[in-house]
Amino acid sequence: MGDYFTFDGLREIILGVVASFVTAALVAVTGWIIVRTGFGSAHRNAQRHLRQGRVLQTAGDFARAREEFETSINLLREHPTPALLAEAYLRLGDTDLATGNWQGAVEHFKLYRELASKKAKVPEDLVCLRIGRAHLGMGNVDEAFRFLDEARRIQERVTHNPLLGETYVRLAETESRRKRPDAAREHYLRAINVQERLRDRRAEAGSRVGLAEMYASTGDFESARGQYSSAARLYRDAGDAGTAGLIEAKAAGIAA
Amino acid sequence: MNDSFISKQGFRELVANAFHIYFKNAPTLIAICAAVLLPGYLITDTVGYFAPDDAKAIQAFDFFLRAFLQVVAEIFLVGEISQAAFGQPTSVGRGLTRASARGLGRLIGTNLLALAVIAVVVLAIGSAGVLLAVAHHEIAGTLVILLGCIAFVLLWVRYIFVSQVVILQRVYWVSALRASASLVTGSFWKTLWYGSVFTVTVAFLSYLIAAIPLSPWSEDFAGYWLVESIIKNAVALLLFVPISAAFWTLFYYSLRIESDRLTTADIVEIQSFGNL
Repeated sequence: MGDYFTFDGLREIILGVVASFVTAALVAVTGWIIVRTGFGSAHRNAQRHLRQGRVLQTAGDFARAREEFETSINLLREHPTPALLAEAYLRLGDTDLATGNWQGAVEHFKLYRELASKKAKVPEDLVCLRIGRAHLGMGNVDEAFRFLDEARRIQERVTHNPLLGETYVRLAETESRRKRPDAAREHYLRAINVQERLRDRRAEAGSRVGLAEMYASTGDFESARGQYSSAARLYRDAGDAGTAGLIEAKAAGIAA
Repeated sequence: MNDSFISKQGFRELVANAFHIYFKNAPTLIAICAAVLLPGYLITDTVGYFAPDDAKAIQAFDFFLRAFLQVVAEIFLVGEISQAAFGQPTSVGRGLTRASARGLGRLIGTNLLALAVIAVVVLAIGSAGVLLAVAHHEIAGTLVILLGCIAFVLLWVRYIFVSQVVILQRVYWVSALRASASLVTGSFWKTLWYGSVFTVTVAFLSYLIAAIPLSPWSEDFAGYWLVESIIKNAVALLLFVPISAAFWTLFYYSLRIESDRLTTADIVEIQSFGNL
């Protein structure tokens, strides 16, 4: 051990560490060259536009995100890379969902489905969930229920599946619009159960607001008030005092 | 019926679930590891065999290159382990192509950056300690070297989730280092405690397995070192690396849930685009 605490020992250790980093960098560069040469410039451009679109989509700039995704799709149509084109259609469909272009969303999700390969594909339940959401937006509640129920059926094959939270909420919304309050309540309660396990307070608060509105519509004001209060507390815990205030006002409105 | 392991978990649950995921997906995880690790380990073992026994440069080279290779293997493993944690089937092809699709240079580069930060900081402090010891300030030198060890532990814990962040959150370079450090903030001691106990236990287990004389040839056989290298690496590291990757990936999800940083929307995003 004493050998390490000498100039020679120190020099050798530094030499070894530098050599290992040079070797690792060489491996990384070689990997990068191999992967890079496997794709043309059109592919790389498409990938860049896709990445840029994703950043804009996350930032909420959906108009510019759409432009980026469309450019990416045009490039990929000329030089097809199925996995990347599939992602572009899916991203474009998600942008349509966010902007309320329901018809466009359904079309893009269908185009995605046609392209999805075995090696690179989104689980079928999540595609069904997206198509169901688009149909719900369009007001096709029966069609929405068909897709959402299919998503639920697939997801329930996995115990404690965290994805079920979103599916149950959409199913509850669908059931509310189909004037089936008991089924809606059941789905909201299941969603809350999943969201509690994930500690996703905002999502849970949203479900409780949906549940409260459902109770209010059936004349059960006491339960509605309870759910509104819980939702307001959850929003406040999540740091969203503004929404919490609005929800409390709603609860007070019912009380009045 | 498959199980999902995306939940807040204690140490015992994490270990049990990491082993469960490993045994359920062993062929896939071992194949991914073998493709990445065995050629690399063979290179370090060959260099080590031909180098003199007291060559410190080779020991340092071997240590860091092995750490690097383990990190590279983890990059390829994390996506598949995440799939398994969601109760989905895993595949070797998807595991290898997923990392390539993200940009291999960027993924390896980000992990290399984390290792470089650790190496530079620890070496700088360690060098100062050695210089003090050489200048006959042994106590001060020892204390500084001890400080270097503390810096190593601190940085290791901060950057432990870089592989998970680059694959599952698609965040790279300095942002990935920040994301990993921020996830650990508030759970530092827990991460250190869990990580140390798990790493020491699995390393000890791997050492015990590797100590079993499995080679059919005697030590006099000319290629004994090569056979021994392949067997030891295959047995010990193909066990050690996938189980460690499973443990850290489950711990990553658990910490995100615990710190309220995993929303339903994040899960939908990970599962939707994780395979593309």
